[in-house]
Amino acid sequence: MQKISNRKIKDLPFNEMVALIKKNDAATLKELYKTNFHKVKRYVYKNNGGEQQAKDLYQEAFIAMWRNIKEGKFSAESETAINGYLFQIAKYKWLDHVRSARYKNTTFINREMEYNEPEVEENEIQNRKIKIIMDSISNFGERCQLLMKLFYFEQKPFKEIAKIMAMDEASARNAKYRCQEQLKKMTPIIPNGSK
Amino acid sequence: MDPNKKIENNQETQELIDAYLLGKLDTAALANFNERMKIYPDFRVMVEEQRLLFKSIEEHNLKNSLDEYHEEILEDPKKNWQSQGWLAIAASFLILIGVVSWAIFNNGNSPEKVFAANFKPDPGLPTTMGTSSEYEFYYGMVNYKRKEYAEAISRWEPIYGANPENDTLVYFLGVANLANGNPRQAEKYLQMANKKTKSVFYEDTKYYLALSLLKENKIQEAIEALTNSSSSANISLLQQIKDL
Repeated sequence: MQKISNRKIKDLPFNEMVALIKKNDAATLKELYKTNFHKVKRYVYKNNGGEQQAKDLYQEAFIAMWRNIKEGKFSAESETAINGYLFQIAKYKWLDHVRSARYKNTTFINREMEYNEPEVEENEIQNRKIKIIMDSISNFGERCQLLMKLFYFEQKPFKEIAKIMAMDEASARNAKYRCQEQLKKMTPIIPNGSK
Repeated sequence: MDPNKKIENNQETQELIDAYLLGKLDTAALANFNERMKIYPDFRVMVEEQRLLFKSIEEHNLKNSLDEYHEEILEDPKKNWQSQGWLAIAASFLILIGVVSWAIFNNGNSPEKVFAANFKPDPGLPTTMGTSSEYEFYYGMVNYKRKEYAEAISRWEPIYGANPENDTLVYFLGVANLANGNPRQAEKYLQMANKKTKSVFYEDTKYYLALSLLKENKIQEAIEALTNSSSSANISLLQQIKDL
């Protein structure tokens, strides 16, 4: 086991960085997260928000950015553009938040918040389904959760998963199949809503 | 291909869809896959269902990771200073006031004070495990990062029984015990880790070993643990202990 060296995302070519984000590379995601949080936090504070709101908003924006990059909905040529895009989504979401019922009766004028809305295409039905499935995952057994994480999130090959889980490769494959079937049974939804 | 043919929802189909979703199909296999999607509506539904599961699992794990990253931001005030220049200036003033107050009201330092001023648990390893072969170690690290030190220790100790030579394991068992308020046990593990001179944790081991000894009031031994150490953190800690 070795300590993973601290890579700086700014040293990476842009395409490589996008590829790493798509693969859910932990070091890249972490650095991107840590690099941009304070700017969003300052923005939220300046606009009457607090610590928890800044965190929730930022995480929501981060996930939206990650999803759009994965789905090829965002293309840019530099890391700075990714940082700007993330900030833009956060601003958009904050604007959405201040427009919500809670803020309707308060006077809230901030010229800084006038900007071009980024293209955050959100499929509400799909998001609801994802939320339902995520709730099921939280109730999943620890071992199945780890297996699914290693396979789908860290995208490790079965050979490596087998090593981590202290089992042989064929057993890891069978276990992944069984866990996935179990998750489907725990989540009685079907993508097109026909069930 | 017969459009009325029933596609089996079995392991083989699931693995084929996984290969498609992960972009691992070659050109010929991909063409075949797309053809099957066109012809068999059931198959298309299966693919969409699996895609949704894939997305959900990714998002669930990303969310958990974001909470871990956030913890690190909160634990790393140095980063805040870097991004907030004014705060660094304010901090400098506070330090200046502190130094002046110390000079005026100095009542002497104590091992406890030096310990408290210097002890901050190692941030831990990324939970993407690289070459690790132990799933329990992996979960222990998740506990450790959540500051659930007793839980981490109880997961790691059985692994230690089977792998007493693992330098990473003894090092983290040491730091976790120290964070859990058990310097005697921490010392035991860190003394073992300290024998691994080629370990990537070698300098860090000396640091936490000295702090464990300090916590046990073994000042002289703490000084010895840090003597000839090369890291700046160790040199600074050595000076503070020598000044006691």
